[in-house]
Amino acid sequence: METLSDFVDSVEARRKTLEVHTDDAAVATALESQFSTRNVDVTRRQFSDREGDDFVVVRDAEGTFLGALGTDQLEQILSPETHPPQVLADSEVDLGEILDVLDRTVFTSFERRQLVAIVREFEERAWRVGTGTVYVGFQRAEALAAQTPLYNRLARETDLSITVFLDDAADPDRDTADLDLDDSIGVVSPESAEIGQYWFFVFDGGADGELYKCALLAAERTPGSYHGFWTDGPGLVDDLYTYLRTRYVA
Amino acid sequence: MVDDPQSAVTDTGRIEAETLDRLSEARIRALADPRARVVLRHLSEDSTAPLSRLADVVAGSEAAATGSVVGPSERDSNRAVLHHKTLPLLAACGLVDYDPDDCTVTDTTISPAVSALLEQVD
Repeated sequence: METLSDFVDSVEARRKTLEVHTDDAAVATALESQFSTRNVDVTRRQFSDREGDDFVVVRDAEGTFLGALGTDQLEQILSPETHPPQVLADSEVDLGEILDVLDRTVFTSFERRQLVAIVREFEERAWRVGTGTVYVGFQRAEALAAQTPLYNRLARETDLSITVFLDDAADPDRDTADLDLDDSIGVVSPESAEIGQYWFFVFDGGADGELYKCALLAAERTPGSYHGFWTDGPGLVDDLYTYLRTRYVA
Repeated sequence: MVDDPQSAVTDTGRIEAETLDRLSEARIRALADPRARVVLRHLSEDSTAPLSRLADVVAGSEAAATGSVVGPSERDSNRAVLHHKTLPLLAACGLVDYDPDDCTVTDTTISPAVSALLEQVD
């Protein structure tokens, strides 16, 4: 990934379709609801084979067939207890591709209040873990100013390492001392257009690692309306974290 | 040969020997292939379909029946069998019209006896 917009594009390109073949509308509706917060479109096709033989076809963003499995098998995979070796052990299917359907990445358009709610949830998560690294990017200095008390508390009352990203072009004469941030909070203010274009929050999960990793990346398309993704998927969180660290922090 | 629409199955669900007698040998042979039965069940809902969709349906049906995940190569080999064998056989005994150039089933005619057999045989 060479830019933040590459991350947005790659998540969008990974969007899958789950084509549910069933004559029971309730089966499709249940799956639709189950996948509503994932990077997946659910469609239904009328199909009446034998009872209990409902199945799903998984397709990539171009509509290419990736795999087919019974809805019973899908339920097993979705169940954390059995997920996924028993079901897929002998399969020639690209496991990663199928499991992509199950990852918890949401690609969507957000209203500002939704974005705020997700970031609050992620901030609380970082607070509870209390260790690790948070990268948070603000599009405008005023947005940071509104959150400064919160981030100062996070910095003082936990062992989190916090770095704030702010677009340099927004205020080239700004002194970081004017931001009133706790001394332990790092400020990165690069001459890079992309920092000013995205609102992001990345938490590396701290000492508890995988379970708490989370990230959000969104661009404002029209005032108050954003487009992007949020994720609990450790791989994507790590990629975004590494990108920001190597490009702007390290 | 015209299939007998009457008494295709008994109340116990077994196919009557007489029904099989009244299905042409070509149809019995064609319907002996489980892929053909899946395809015809699908076409009984929608009488036209592209080959690719039928290959997806056969893959999904196999996956559901065996509790496995069917991947692209298995699905593609099913597609080849449907194109070269199953659909030409079904076309030869008058159950479907298959255009091998467009890879599309353009029409399907399922008699009651065939329909009853499809309902009773896995």
